[in-house]
Amino acid sequence: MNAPSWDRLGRVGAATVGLMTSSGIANAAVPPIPPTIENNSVQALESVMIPGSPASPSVNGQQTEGLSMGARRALDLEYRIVLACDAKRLSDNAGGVATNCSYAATACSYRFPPSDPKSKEMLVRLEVRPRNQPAAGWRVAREMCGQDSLPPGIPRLAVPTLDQIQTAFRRLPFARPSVSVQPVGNVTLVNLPTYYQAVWPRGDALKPGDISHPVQLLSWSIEFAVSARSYDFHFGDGTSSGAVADPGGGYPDGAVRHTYIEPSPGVAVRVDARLTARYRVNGGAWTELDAVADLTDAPVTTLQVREATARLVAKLTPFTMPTYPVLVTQTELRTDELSAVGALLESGNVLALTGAGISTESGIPDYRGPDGERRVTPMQYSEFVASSEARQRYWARSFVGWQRFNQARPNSGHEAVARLQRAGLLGPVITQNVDGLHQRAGATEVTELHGALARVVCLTCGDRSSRWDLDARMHEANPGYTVTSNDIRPDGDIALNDLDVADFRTPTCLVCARDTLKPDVVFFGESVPKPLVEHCFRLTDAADALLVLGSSLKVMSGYRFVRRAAVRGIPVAIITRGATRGDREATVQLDAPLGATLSALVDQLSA
Amino acid sequence: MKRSRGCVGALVVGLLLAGCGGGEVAGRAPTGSPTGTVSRQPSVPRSATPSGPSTSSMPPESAVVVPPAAQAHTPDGAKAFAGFYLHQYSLAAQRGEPALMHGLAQRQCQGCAALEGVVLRLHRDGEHVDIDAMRVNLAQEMAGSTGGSVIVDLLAEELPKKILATDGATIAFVRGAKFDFRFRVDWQSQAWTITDLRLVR
Repeated sequence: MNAPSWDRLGRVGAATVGLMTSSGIANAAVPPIPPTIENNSVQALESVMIPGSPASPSVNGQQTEGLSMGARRALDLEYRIVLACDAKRLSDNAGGVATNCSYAATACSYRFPPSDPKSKEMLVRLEVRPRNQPAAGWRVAREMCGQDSLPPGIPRLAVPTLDQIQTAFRRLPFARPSVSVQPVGNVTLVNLPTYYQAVWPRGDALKPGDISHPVQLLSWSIEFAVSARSYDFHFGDGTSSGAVADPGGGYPDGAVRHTYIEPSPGVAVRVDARLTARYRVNGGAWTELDAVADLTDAPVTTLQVREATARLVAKLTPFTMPTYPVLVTQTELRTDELSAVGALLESGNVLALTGAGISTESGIPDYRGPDGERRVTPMQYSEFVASSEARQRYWARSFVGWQRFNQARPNSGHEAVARLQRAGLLGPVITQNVDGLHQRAGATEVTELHGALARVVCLTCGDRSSRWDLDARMHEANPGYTVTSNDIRPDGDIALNDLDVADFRTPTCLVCARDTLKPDVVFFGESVPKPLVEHCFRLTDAADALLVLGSSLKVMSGYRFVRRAAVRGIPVAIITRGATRGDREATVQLDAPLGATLSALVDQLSA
Repeated sequence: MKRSRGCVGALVVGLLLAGCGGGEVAGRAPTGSPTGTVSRQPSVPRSATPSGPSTSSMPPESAVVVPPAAQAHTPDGAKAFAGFYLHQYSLAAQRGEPALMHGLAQRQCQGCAALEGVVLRLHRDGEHVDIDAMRVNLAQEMAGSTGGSVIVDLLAEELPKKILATDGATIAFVRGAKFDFRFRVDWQSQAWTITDLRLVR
C-alpha cells in the first residue's frame, strides 16, 4: 500500500487511505479520520521569518551593520544587555504609567518556536556602540529570549533573586489593622459574646487588595498585589483566636467572637495580621509569592468588660438570647444604652437618618404607628399622574392640610439634632420627611430624600415654584373654600369627602397653564432620583456611624442606607418607637420617644 | 453561494456596502464614507498607490471597510491597522473569501502574499476554516518607527481550527499557534498600508 500524500496544508492526495485497526485495514466504507496538521499560517510564513541568530539583520534597521566601517574593523565595541522595554514606562497599573514591558515579558512565549511560559524568559536586547565613542547612541544588535545565547564576555543583565523579591515585599509600607469591637463604645459584658473585626485604616499605606507602586530591583520593575494570609486576634485576657483567615465582623454574623468570663477595667485587644502577595515583573503575568509579612506594632483597642446585669437577661433563655441589639422599652430608658449612643456620637462623624417619627411631636403624624402598620393610605404616584380628577382630589385635600401643616414648628427632637450638629457631634442629616422642620430648627447639611412640600414642580414644563405662592393662588381661585379637617397626614394631605373635592378648582402652572402641578416630593410608588440616592450612599460610606431617628425603616428608600452601613461595618443606632425593619442591622436600638431621648442625649454629652 | 457569503462578510465588517447581491462592485475611490469608514474596492487599484494591490488576481466580490480607529494617522492607528489586517486574514480564511484581504497590503510584502496565498488556496479548493481563529493579544510599536512608517509587533494566537469542505465535512484539524508578527505599516495616499510582514522567531 502506498503511503498517502499530503500537500503543504496536510490535505490528502489522490491515494486512497485506509484506517489501520487492530484487526488490519478497516472497511473502506469507513470515512478516514481527518488528519491533524501543523499550523498553516506558520507554514506559510516560514520563508519570511526573522531568525534570532546574532548575525541576523533587524527589520527596523538597527543592527551592528549600521556602525561605521572603522568601528567594525577596530572591533572595539562595547555591549550591554537591556530589557526590551522603554525605561520610562514601567507600570501598566490601571491609571498608572503605560508600559511596553508587558511585551518584553510575554513576547518570548509568542515567538516561534515559543519558549515555555513557565520559564518566564524575558525578551532582552543586546545593544552595542563603539567603545571610543561614548557619545554615540546604543544600537540594537539583536533581541533574544533569555540570556543563554549571549556571547561570552558580555555582562549578563542582573536580575533579582527570589530572596531579594521576598525581602522587597516585606519592606513595603504596610498599614496596620485595628480591632473594631461590638458592642460599640468599647464596653462589653461578661458571659456574652463579643464580636471582633480587623479594620484597615484609610490612607496610602498598603493593605489587602492594594497593588504596590513598582519597586525597582536591578533591571526589574516589580509590583505586588497584597492579600491577607491570616489574622490572629488577641483578646487581652491571655487568649487569642489563633491564625484565622476571616477578618471577623459584627453581630450577628461575625465569625471572630470571644466571651470574657471575668470583668476588667480594660483589656488590650489587638490583631496581628500576616500578609502575602502575588507579584509581577515588568508588567508580565501575576505569580504567587512564597513570602509573608508579619505585621507588628498593631494598634491596641482597650475594652472595658463589665458584669452583665439582670435586666438584660431576665426575659431571655441562654439559648435564644439576642445580645444585639439591646432592646430598651420607653418606660425603662437606661443610661447605659444612651451612653452607647453617646459613645457613637463622640466620634463626631455620625450621619443621621430621620423619619416621620421625629416630627410627630410637632403635630405631624407618621404613616405607621409603633406597631409598624400603615395607618393611612397616601395617594400613589401612578394615581396622581393618571387623571385631572386625581390631582383635583389631591390639591383640594392638600390645600386644607397645608393650613395646619404650615403651622407645625420644630420640636425638641429637631432642636437636639441641630444642637448636636453645632457641637460637632453629628454630621449630615438625611431626612425622609418633607416638612422642612430640621432646617427651621437650624440644622444644616440636610438632604431631603423625599423632597419638600415647600416646593412645587410642573410635570409638564418642569417649572418650579413656591408652595406659599401656590397657596396664595389657590386661595384666590377658591374663595370661600373653608373646609376644615383634623385628619392631617405626614405629606400635608388630609381626608376630605368627595363633595368637598368637587368644588375645588385645581391650580394650574403659570408657565404652561396645565393642571400638572405636583408637590416636589417623592410620592409612594415613585422612585427617589438616582443621583440623590448615590449622594446618600456616599454620605453613608463616609460616616463612622449611622443614627436612625424616628423611622420604622419600612420603606427601602431609607432602609437601604442602614443595610449599606451594616455591610460596611459602620455601627447603626436606632432610636424610634417600636420595632423597625433595621433591628437586625442595628448595633443599639432604643424604643423611646425622640424628643425626650435626644434632649437627654444632648444633656449627657454636654455634661 | 460563495458570492452571497462574501456579501455577508462585507456586511459584518463594514455595514452596508454597494455591490452585494448584484455580483458587481461599483468603482469607488478609497475615500471616507459617510459612516466614517474607508472602503477599499478590490477591483479598483488605488491610483495613488505606486505598486498597487498585492493580489490583483483576487475575485472582485467584496469590499474591505477599514474601521475608523485604523484610519488615524498615529502610531495607535498603525497598530490598529495591523490588527485589522490580521482580523481580515482570519475572516477571509473563515469565509473562503480572498477579497476580504484585498487592498490592505503592498505587493512587496512577502508575508502578506504568503497569508493571502493560504486564503487563495482555500478559495480555489472550495474550502474554508470553521472559525475566526486569530486573536491579537498585544500590539507594540517598535523602535525605528517614524511618522510615516511604523514598525508594529503583534503578539497573536491562532486557535486550533478545522479546514472544512464546501459540504461542511472536515478535511483537517489544524493546530493552534502563537505568533510574534512584525509589521511595517506605511502611510501612503492618506491611508495605512502593510509593506512588510514577518514572523519573529
